[in-house]
Amino acid sequence: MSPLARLNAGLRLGLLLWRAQMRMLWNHTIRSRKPLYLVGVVLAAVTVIVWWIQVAFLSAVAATAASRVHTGVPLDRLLGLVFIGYTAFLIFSSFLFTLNALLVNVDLELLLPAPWPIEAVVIGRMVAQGLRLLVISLLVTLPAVILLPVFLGHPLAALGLLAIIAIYPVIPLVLVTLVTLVAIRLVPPGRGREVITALSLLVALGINLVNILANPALQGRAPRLHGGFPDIPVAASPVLPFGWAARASAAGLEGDLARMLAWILVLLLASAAALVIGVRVSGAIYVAGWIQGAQGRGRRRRPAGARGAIHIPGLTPVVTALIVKDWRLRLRDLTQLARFVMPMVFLIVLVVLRAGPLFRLVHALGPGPIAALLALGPAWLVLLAITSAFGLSAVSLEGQAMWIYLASPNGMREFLEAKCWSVVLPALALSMLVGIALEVLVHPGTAWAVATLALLPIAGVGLGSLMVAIGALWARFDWTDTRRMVHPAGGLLGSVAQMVASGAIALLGVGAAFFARPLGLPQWPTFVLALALPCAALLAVSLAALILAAQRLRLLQL
Amino acid sequence: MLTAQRLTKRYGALTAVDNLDLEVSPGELFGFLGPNGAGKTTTIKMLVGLLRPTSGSAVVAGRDLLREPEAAKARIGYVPDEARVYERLAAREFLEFSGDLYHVPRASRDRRIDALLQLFELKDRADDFLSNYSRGMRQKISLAAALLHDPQVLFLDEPTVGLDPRSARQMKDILIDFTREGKTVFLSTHILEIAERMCTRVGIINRGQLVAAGTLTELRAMVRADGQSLEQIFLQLTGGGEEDVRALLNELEK
Repeated sequence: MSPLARLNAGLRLGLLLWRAQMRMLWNHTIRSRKPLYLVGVVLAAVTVIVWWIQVAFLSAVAATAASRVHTGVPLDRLLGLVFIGYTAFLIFSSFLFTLNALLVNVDLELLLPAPWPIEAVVIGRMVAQGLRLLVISLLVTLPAVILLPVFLGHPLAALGLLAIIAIYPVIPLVLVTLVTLVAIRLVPPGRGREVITALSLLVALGINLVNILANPALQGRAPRLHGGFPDIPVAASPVLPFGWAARASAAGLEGDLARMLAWILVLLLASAAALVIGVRVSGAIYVAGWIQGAQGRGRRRRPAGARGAIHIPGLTPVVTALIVKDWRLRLRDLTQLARFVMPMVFLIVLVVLRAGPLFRLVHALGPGPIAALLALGPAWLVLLAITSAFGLSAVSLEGQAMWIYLASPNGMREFLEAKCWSVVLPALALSMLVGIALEVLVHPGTAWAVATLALLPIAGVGLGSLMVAIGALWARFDWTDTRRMVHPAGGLLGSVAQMVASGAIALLGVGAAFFARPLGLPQWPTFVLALALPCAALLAVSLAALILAAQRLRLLQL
Repeated sequence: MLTAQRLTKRYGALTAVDNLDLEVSPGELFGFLGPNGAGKTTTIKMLVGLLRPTSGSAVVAGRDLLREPEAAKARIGYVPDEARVYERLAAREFLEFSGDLYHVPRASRDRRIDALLQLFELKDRADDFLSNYSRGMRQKISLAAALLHDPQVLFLDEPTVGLDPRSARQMKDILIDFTREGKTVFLSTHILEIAERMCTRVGIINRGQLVAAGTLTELRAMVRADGQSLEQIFLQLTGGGEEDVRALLNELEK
């Protein structure tokens, strides 16, 4: 089959995949007729309309400003910067998506044996991804793309801009796909999902580290505003794709349609060439890589000597068995572990970087309840991170193996008890460790430190149980991917519950610290009571939520 | 050992199982047959306590499933049609977990696990994660987990799917041995040859209703078809005679 025929097959397969995706979206949202989904669709539509109105207004302002003020800024260089940013967006958003799509998506088992050339699968994925990016880009920029040329008096240029937006993603996508194909070859057998998680973790960590280390606002310095913009000549380079796109767009906005068409032609030819080259090299690499990364399941043995009964004092063998099983599953799944490691790493980085100012602030306040509460802050964040990362997905973690517990001679009380302990025990162990260490470092006074540290186990039990209960009420047993195990509604409610609990404890604690003395109340007992009240409320809410969750799970029919 | 009375399951307008009456005695190996979508899996799920019947009742090993679900479940072993297990557990870890769920004392649990792994020829792969197991191996480990607590009644939904001939034969022997101890096996299968050779009695379900139950001789008498195979009786009772099949094949060939 000639490269052109393969390209054609890929385009057709891409459109087929895209149509299937759109149909699934339609079925999942509008056709499902579920009120919550319909409300979501309406809200999304309203958001887009509001955004478009904003963009249209800004386009009008920009066009008016451009006609009145001459900045001396070459338009092609300015637009070049925009396209460099767009390229970065395309690469970052495509890389993980493409790796996922070409390595672990379940429909690969359907596509690869189907009578399509392998290259068509690769191109098909690229087309579907390109269309997805095109829709996202248009959702963000469509009013500007159409109205800016109109306001500047060159309405035909809008068509050129639309063509640029449609063509531009091709080269970055081909590059990302080729890099992904090479990456797939390096993925250890059967570890595709873990590698994707590790890469997302690294990307997220890298972005945040750069932000923490380089953002002037986080360095205690005011952001430096320059009179002009960064002058990067390469942004409008005549030999690079963003230069072609920038030159074409600038020419169109300045009314030079012939020059615009010429640069669009360059972009189009280069994109077509990239596509053809991509087709030629992708097929063979892909098949070899995919078989190695996703199909070749190596034998994985657990370490020798890991046997032996585990016993947790005070817990029944069934509860212990569930806890041990849950932690084995979590520790062996990088995607699960990442949910816990990410906030921990950020916390450590943040605490290490900000430790100096934090300690100076605490010491300036002197010993007392506020210092004790501030020192407890990081431990509280650890508690929130662990209880939400593991609590909300604790019940869904059973997945399609939930029948094993349901068929066993045990009730839901034991099940939920095990789930709560499996979240609360590690959360308490780690948060207490951080809390004690920081209280010792800050030394706000023993009585204050004890009062605040006593908050952790009570709030930990409350928060952990509440997250488990919320996760049970919105359990999703069909997903093995941790990110999907948590229902959006459950996730939102969990976050709100955590915010309310944190806010109430902080507000009452700080309030008691400030107002106890002026009101003539004994300071320490008032502070302890102020912390105890929201904790008691949290425990009551958690208990009620657990009762509801148990009722829901008892009605579960698999 | 197992009694179901007017067992019914409805999903909205669809009646998956309709007033099913059934009685299986100790030591019986009962085959539950039916075409796809007839209600076999729904019935089994109700009998093991995974689905709540819309109406009717079921008593397993003397315990009412609705009134004493936990006591009944302790006497049941269940192997589903597709063994969905914890993929990131090693086989031995999975069996240990199952033993704890069914309150098997630790000492006898470990002894029985070793024996079952030996019996199912999985000892060498006991420390492999279940994600590395084939479908047939998972089926075997599910059966091992179902036998671990020495149940009184064993429910198996399509137990031989995915098994190689040697393993299928091994499973048949294990099930026959199990019934010789006076325990009961309730299995659903599509493979009529298995039902014909192994089962002491057979029940045929079609569109949610039990259309026949009895020994092979009783079924032959019921349809007045001396010497007919179970396959012919099955097709006759479920309305899919050879002529219908031939007509459909001719239609496809067009």
